[in-house]
Amino acid sequence: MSGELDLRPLVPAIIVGVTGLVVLLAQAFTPKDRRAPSAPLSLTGLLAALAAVWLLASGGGRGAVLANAVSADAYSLFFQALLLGIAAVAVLLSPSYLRANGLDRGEYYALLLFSVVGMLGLVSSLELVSMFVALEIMSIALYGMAGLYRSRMESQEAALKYFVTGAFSSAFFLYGVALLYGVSGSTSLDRLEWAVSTLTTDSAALALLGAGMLLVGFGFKIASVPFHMWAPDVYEGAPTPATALMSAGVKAAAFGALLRVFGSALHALAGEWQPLVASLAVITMVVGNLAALAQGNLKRMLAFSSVAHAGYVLTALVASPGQAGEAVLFYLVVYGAVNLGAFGTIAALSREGREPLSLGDVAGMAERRPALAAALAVFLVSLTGIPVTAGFVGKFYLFNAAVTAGWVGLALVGVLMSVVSAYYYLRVVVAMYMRDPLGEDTWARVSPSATVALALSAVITLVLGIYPAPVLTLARIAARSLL
Amino acid sequence: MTAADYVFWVFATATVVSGAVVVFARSLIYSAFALLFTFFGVAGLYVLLGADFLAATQLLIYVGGILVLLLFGVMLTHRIYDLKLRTEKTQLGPGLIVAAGIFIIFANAALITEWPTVGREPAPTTKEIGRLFLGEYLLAFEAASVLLLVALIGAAMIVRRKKDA
Repeated sequence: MSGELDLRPLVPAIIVGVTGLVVLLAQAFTPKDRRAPSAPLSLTGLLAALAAVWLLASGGGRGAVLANAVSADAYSLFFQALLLGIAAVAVLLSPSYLRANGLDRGEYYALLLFSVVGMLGLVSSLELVSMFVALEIMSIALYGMAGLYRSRMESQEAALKYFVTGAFSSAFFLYGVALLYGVSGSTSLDRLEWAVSTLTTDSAALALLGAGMLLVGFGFKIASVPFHMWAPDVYEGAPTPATALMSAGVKAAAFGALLRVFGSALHALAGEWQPLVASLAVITMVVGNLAALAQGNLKRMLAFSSVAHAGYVLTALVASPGQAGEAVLFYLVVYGAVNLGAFGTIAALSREGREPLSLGDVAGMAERRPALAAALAVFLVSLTGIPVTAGFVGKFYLFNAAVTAGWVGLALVGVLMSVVSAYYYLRVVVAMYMRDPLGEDTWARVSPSATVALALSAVITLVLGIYPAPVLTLARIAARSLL
Repeated sequence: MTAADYVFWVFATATVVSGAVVVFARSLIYSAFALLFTFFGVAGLYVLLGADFLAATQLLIYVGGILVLLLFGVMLTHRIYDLKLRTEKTQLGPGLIVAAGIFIIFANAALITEWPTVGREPAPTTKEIGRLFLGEYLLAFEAASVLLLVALIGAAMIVRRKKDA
């Protein structure tokens, strides 16, 4: 143990965590007849943490600290900035939704902030025990958020299902950590990398089982098939801004940790785990897209689409870590913006406990809400991956990574499934633009903060589609620090 | 077989048999009591592995805390005795095949692996664990307190009474 305690890489997470406590206390000390300033406080904390990430990125304090448990390398900082951005947009979406559904409570924001603490830890851990604790902080906060809407059966079901399957997946993760400890005698990723590269064939079996268990654990978090069964129910039952955070943030954080473990620490075993990941990718894309075709409920459709997108991202993992990293990091930015936008649109229209969930609800929206319909169309077209949208650029890099690594068939499945997905995404666009509205427009006026959130997501989606170079460069630099 | 081997088999059998009772017992109260023996069996296995601190913690926390809480929960809950616990969707056949397959794979891997060993007799571990918690694993140790806080907040939020929700 070298003497000094260097906490600099933890500063963003500490800021977010302290903000969570402040939000709780503010709620407790606000008089009953007044509203606690939970959302502004949360937003301030997230932006302060973002500033801290910026300072870390431009200054020193990047090395691994606390006995190599955590680091603020370029890879961590890229993910931390992304996650804080996602959380900030989710906070902007929340106040109007919570008020429209009678859920306006400080605990929601506190749990949101704590789940962000877990996500930040997950992407910057260099050691498996810290990574596990971070994963649990994130998950437990989200179980609570999923069950926030207590008066609805779906929300209770979501919380319970998420909790049970989540606990189950944590056990897999932990078992994997234990087996890998058996291989290397250490939980540090550096030592693991060294141990795996000097394995004898007999011990390789154990390392592979450990890797497989970790993959199952991560598979639950990113909702890849066959570990996706919870996703539609949870995404449907949770309050919509929380769903947006789950689909964008959790997936980004889990992929961040997955790529760090598999792309760098377990890379020596790539020949063995890549076929496994490739087959996961294929069934995830196929099942996710085909199931999404059959959904009438928009939130469930987006949930299965989020399953399918986990499959697209998995295809890139068969490439070399540098190339895979660049493609995955860029895609997660795109995916985050697009998904926040899509779920955000639903949340922003929510009024008196109802939200637009069927095609009939959005029919003719282009007439009544031209700007909102245009934004949702941008998000859906981008999810499809039609050229000149961010989704296209992102998918291009993902599939390109797979092709470069010699997995042409895998990329082909991805392209084919994207074509299939056009049907269910564009069906919504068609309903908005070509069908006549049904009945009165009873949806809420979009609140200013939600407008900012949606505009931000739409602008990022458009800009990344036309001029992706700066973010790609950042993704490349970040991915290089993995090697 | 040495004496330790006999002790191992006693504990292992106790753990597995009582574990089976936990799963297959008809009444929740039988399951809860069988769990007591499972916990004891596991604690015994920890002792045999030289993990003294873990064994003591297992007894204190699981037997002394969690199990007692569980029994109170069962006994104080109204009409839990005639509750039908099994779901209708048990898939015994496929479940058995998958479980047996996984068992064979893991057992095989455990047998062929050359396990890294430290090459010394088991020594008391408490001091070493304490040192690691405040040294190498400081971050995980401290972060665990955040985890507990989050669990508390989440639980408090979920069980809050309806009228002030």
